[in-house]
Amino acid sequence: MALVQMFNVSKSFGAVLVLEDITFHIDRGDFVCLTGRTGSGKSTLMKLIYMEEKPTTGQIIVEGFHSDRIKHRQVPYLRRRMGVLFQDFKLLRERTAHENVAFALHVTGTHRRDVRSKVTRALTRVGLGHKRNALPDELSGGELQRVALARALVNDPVLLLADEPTGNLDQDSGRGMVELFQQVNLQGTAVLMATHNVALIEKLPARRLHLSEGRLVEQGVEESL
Amino acid sequence: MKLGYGVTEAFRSIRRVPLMTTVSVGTIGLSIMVFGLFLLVTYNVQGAVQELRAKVDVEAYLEEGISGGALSLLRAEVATVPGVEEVRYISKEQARARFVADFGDTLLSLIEGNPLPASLLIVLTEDRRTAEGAAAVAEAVTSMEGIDDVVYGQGWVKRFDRLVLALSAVSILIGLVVSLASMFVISNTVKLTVWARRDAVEIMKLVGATDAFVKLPFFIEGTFQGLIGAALALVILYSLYGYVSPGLGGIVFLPLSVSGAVLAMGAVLGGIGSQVGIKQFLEV
Repeated sequence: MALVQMFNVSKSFGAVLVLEDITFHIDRGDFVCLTGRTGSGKSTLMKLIYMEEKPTTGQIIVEGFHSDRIKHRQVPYLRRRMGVLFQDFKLLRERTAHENVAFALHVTGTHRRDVRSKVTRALTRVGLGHKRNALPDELSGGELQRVALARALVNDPVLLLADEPTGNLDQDSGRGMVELFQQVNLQGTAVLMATHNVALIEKLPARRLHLSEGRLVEQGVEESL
Repeated sequence: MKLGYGVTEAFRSIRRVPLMTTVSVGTIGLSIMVFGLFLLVTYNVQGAVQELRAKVDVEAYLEEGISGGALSLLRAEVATVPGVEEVRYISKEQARARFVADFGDTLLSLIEGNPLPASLLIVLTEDRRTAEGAAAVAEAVTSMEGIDDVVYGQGWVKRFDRLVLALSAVSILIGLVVSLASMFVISNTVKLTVWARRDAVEIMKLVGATDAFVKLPFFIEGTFQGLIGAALALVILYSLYGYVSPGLGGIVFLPLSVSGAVLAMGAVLGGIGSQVGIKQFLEV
């Protein structure tokens, strides 16, 4: 069964039509790259998937949650099934790497006893086990995004949404990030990565979706590798 | 577990923005102090009025030369009037003694004989010690055989009733205004606190925290601030009371139950205010 299904979805804010008649799906274990220039609606598409926004017309089904029928109090349970990454990391500055990752567990009611081992595992997975006590100010951009990735993965999501995750990173850190996404994907988590940096994903064996003027174009799987 | 997390986060926030917490506690304390002050005044005035109320009675003067039998009958008849607790007979001699005690004997020594009439002092039941109650009893007694005239403190009883009513109304009004103002202050302070921590709230929502979980630390923080504010108000009020009470003999402080209620009020206002304050941040 598909993880994410969109049927004829349109989204407008006031009179501005941002997304128009979008139909696509993401299967379990997929790696999907979403390209399009800044302002083409990539972030809005992401928000529709984690249901911060509702479609103006059309329907979305994510992990069995239906955009027409989901209740406000059910949204948190949908979000626990996915991890979200942003260009600006969204880490808490006064907390260490460990505390930032643990935060996601505490606020979803994980038992205190399980937090330490889960956080250690997630930080090790992104190669930051040795920097668990570092504050965000003591970490590089690439390291910050990896802490954010550890937080996104700590609840074992079925889907990772990454909205311009390399936007604030240099070329090497960006490539490192994409490699981590591939590893995550190999372990079974579906990945949807939005980026305007086409060069970064040129050689990636992934499905390509392109957003242009609010419309979505499927570009097929890159088969150069 | 959940509560433990809420308490940890609440105190983390208080430590992080101590100035905001101080301002918030101070403002809550100030509003509750104004309320407490009025409560204290009302409480003492009501105590004084209760004492005065006990003195609201009706006096029925008897016609001259009423016979012993007629007097017994009259006393029994007056005792059956609704609202009468006790009927005391005051003889001419007792009336004279009472007059001498109040005004001295100069005036009476100028007059031959005893001009003061005998009377029945009618003590009212507690619920009838008002202007209307006294008037009703007076009216029932005045037409009885052997009664010459009936008097009661019409004027001052009425004035007191009006004063008590006005004071109670003012207390309730101030209580309402203070409650609303405190909630407004607390909710706005919480809005500032949430604004300072909007990144944490946003992350909580993104990783799937329920609304209740996001609200919990703010609820604990608001309740705590309200409680401390109210306690502070009571302490200041008590010091103030200690300072002025020697000059105003007989005033008392709020009893323990009322002080407890003021504390509870602070906590409840703080808790509710925090929930009003955070509401708009939960719509993500």
